[in-house]
Amino acid sequence: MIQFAVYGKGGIGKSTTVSNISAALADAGLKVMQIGCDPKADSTSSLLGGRRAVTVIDLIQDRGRDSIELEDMVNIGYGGVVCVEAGGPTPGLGCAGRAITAALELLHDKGAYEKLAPDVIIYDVLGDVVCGGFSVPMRKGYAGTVFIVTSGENMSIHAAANIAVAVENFKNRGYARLGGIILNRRNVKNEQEKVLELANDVSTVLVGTLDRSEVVQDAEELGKTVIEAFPKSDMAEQYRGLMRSVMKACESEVD
Amino acid sequence: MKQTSRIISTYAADISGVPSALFELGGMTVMHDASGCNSTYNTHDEPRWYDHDSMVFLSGMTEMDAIMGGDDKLIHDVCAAANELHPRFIAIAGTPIPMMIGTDFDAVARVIEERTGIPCLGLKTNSMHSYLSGAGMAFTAYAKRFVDRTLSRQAGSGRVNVLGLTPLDFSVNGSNESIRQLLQRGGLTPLSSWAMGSSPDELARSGLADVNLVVSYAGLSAAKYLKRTFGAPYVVGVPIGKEFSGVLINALHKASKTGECSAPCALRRADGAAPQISIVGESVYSGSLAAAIEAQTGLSCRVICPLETEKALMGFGDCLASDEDELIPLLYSGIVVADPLYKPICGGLTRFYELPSEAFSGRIYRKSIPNLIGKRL
Amino acid sequence: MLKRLGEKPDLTQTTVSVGEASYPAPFETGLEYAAPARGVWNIVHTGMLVPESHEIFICAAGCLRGVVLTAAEMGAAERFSTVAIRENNVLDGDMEELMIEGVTDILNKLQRTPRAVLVYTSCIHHFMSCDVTRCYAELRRRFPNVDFTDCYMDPIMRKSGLTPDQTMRSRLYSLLKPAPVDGMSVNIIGSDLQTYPDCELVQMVQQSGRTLREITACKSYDEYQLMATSYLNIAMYPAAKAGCEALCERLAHRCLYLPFIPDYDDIDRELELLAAALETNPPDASALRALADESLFKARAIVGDAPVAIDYTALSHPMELARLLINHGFNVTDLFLDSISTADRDAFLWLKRNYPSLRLHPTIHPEMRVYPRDERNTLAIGQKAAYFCGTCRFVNIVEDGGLHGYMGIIRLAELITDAFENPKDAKIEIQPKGLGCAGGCCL
Repeated sequence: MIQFAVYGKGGIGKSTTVSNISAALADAGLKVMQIGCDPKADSTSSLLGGRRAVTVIDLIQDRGRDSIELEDMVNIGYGGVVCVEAGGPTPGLGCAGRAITAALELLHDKGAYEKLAPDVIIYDVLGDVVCGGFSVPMRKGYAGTVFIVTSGENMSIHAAANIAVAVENFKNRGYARLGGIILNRRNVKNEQEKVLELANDVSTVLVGTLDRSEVVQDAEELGKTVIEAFPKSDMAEQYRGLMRSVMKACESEVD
Repeated sequence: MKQTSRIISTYAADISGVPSALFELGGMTVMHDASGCNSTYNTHDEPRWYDHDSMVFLSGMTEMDAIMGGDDKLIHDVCAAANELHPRFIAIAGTPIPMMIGTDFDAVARVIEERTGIPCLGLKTNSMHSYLSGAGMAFTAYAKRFVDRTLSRQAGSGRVNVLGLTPLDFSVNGSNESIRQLLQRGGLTPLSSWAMGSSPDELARSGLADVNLVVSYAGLSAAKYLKRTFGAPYVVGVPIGKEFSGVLINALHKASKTGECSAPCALRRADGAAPQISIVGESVYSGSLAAAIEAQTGLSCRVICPLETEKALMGFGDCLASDEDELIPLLYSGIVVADPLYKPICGGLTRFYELPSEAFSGRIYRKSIPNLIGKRL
Repeated sequence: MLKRLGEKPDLTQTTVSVGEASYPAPFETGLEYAAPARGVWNIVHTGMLVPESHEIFICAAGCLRGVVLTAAEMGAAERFSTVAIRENNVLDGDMEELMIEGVTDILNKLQRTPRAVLVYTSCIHHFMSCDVTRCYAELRRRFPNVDFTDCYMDPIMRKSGLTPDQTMRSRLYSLLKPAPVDGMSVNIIGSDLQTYPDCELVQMVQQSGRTLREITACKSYDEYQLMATSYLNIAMYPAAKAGCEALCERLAHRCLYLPFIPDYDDIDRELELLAAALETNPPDASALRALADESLFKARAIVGDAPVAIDYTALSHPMELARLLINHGFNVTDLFLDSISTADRDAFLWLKRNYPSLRLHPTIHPEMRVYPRDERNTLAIGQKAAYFCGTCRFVNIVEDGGLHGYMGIIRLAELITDAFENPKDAKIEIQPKGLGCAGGCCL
């Protein structure tokens, strides 16, 4: 079972990228579980026809842990992708980090990994690693590899560098290693060079580049991934290429 | 290493200081916590608990309450209890998890007050500071809310409030009453004691005082507020021993006339003599004891203060030390006056005199806590 | 000075008849009050049952206060240390370093290295998602001769799985190392108090030629480790059940849950189960029943029509006890409990049908703060019942008191008689923490 986590600045296109990778993997015949680790709980909506899944935290609040079954926590989306949303509090309240931890612990306690036995698990994690809870997806037992999505915009690059430092700091703990950077173009000046420089600075590689394309937004408006809505498009092909690069980076870790 | 303790105890925390300060005033204190704070407080920190119906409750926060951060449940439960029990006021105090999730106690208090019509104080404690901080916060908030600002001080002198009185520093051995009587014998007129043995109405008239006597660091912040608001100066010290009590009474009369503050608790011999006696404890009480011993015996003393204080309250030779590793070298030899639970870290050359403190050892040595007010040591 | 409030308060929130009560929660929840009845054990008392162990708590100062003084009051300060979490740790995020270095610092200062260390982390560790697994791995690397176990003072998690009490009773046995099972010893798991030696359970085990082991009787860490050789683990207290099952799964022992239920049919059923596990015969139930009846009627003759009140801290099945006493003519009038357990449901329904006027009261509802406490003629069974009734005639017992079976009922009848004939001061008797703990509680 391969597990990887995707981090990056808020709004950079993580969920879109991750959902398309999931869809591409599903099309390739793999069983995929995508876990949204963000209180907004919108990671998997394009795999679910645009709807928002009931979150694990919603279920705990409504029913209590003991009354929840594994089936309650998962939704099956495009291509059989198992979709889970951790959920969390509304902005400005509570503790989103603890929410993610509690949700992942419950999935674990209910035997999600053994019973569902996915081939690939992808954690789509909130923008910045702001407290301990947001690093849980990269800990032992969870993702073995971390990828960071960035554009060439400075704020996004700074966020990416920050996350890379966190991953490096955790190296001696046996946490996930940094698998690479994914460039999601915003077409800013010298974008490719800037992101390559970032990759170099944090001792990693650029595993894939995604062009800025209206097709992505068109698919979003349909409530679908590009892979599902426009499978023959160039954008879909880029996502498939990215999928292959990411899997190769993960497999080399497993090896 | 800082923050570790092989054997010594820990002082009562701010979350206990709040209900201790407000216990006798007819209000309802709510500790916003999962479980444990209220029973810790009423077992170890509150000797009045068994026989007196003061309302101190716990919110019973759960993991999901904290994750979601909505304060609706807390507000609902407090309002429900207040509507049944009709307290004069409500105080909400925090603990570590509400701190971590950024609970806005002022906002919560505002909502509760709107819904119940009962004055509500939000206090940002977090269980990581001592009882002095919590009691100080509570006294100050109470003063701001309930001391009548419309009363105008008539000409006179010698009217005095006693600030900072809680059983955590003074136990329930009659010290509060002894202070009152001593002040009267000294030609002063006690108006109120904050807050043992006085009614809310007496506290409300505190603005009429000519001077305030601060008997614990817990009372200093309220004293400063009363000075800013009503102009009354404050004198810091506990009337321990005969000689030092006389010094304090004189200081109160002087302050009453001149309007100048002073801290007789910081009086020490400054002749450079190595201190013969080390007193461990809260700065005002310990400092007053040090000054009292020096005045009576001539023996030089220093205070080792493990708690919050201010430089102005520390005398020559006094020092701060809270962690066990900081205290051990200071208690290696000489005469030490301290709570018995400090004894295990004192050196073999030490002569140890037990002076228990509820704030440190709780109820264990309660029966042995002496009333030193105005008495020959 | 604030005294008792003069007006008689409205008690509608504090009393409901069993006929009208709903299951399992007869009272609304909200703010909580803590009565000054302190005899129930806490996690410090229970943890100290591991011989030659040391406890280290890592929490904020306010949370440490209660546990530090628990250890001091039970004379166990030498076996107890603390690491205080401060604001800077929360902000800097160095909680894990604090745990590793703090525990290391303490162990390096101890005169003698303990055989086992129980480290208690707190609510903050959950909310900061601290990787305590990593911390324990490092501590085990640094101190290979010390057995560490993870314990928890995290009441914020009490509705998120096992309660802190259940968790503590489980962690207590996590230090047992797998060992060859000899078939000739039996454990009692998860009880704080030593089992009454005259009870049928103990007698049956001993008469089968086997050794009975309880942590309360272990004098050394090696003796505690011998518990791993037992083939059968018996949990006798509801909060011990989950821990017993976990232990049995880990060490492949047999598990039996045999709580003290003061009901003859339940006792017979349990003795049958035990006999089967021991491959012996149960004792003669009819003779024992007669003895139990006789002792209860004798106690009833002494107590007369005095009202009787029971609380949930005394016995784990307070409604079953109420039923038993009512069936033997006692005038049971009040039960103090905040919820009704599944185990007591049967008795609850019986009381509802047959004794609907029996009064139920919460113990934590805020209005209990002003409960009159003037029922001085009541015989109370349990510390909270004693406090709320304001009586000096009470059975001072917590957590089933080590009682079990018919002999447990007989012993309880003796305690009832003694309580009625020998009044005592509740203010003195119910305030020491951890009733029956080894150090006693010096106050």
